[in-house]
Amino acid sequence: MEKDKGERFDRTFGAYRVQIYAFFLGRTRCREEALDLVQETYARMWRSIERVPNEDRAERLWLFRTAKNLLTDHYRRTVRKSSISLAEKELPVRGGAEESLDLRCLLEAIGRLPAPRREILTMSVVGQMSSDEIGELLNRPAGTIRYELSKAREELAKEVDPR
Amino acid sequence: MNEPRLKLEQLLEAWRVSETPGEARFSQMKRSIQIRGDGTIESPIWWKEIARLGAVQPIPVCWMLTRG
Repeated sequence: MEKDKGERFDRTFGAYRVQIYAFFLGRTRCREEALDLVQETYARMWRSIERVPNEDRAERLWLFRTAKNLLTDHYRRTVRKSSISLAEKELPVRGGAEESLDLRCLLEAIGRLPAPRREILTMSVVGQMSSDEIGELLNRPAGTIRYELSKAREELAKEVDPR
Repeated sequence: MNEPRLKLEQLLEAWRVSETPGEARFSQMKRSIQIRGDGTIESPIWWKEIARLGAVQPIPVCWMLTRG
């Protein structure tokens, strides 16, 4: 039984951790806050795993519903004073100074996107989620998500390469 | 794909890579959840604290914490 619990938890943790992280990152814009909230989401799952639906879609929806509730609690508890803008973070330098500069420019542009658009973009790019998946979790039509992603890319392309 | 779009996609990929925590970090997190969830540690320790303590095995961490 314990083995089953562990295996199931491993599978679910591996399958959705990055998606849930991206969901929180899009909202909080702070990596550490997002990671803390991912941990709390899965801690709740671990504590009540017997009551979590054991079917892929239902399980995923349970996790994201829990994540949304935690985010609401998080906002109630904390003033957003500690949030660090994506653009203020230290960036890794991989492709040399020019790439780092371009990436910083991108992060600043992402920071200027309207919040719902930025959140959708984060779930799509960092979370690697499809428009259908994002739409289901946000209760919005997949077509709307595709439109928002298209607009986000259009706005970012202009800022990254303003020719 | 035109050039600005291609550049954007490359930068978005660089953003994804830079934002995504590594496997080791997620593994620490999972281990911490399971330790807490099993009741081995009652205090609300965070996986980052375990990492900061430099613990590899959970038992010494429990011992350190319960000794306070």
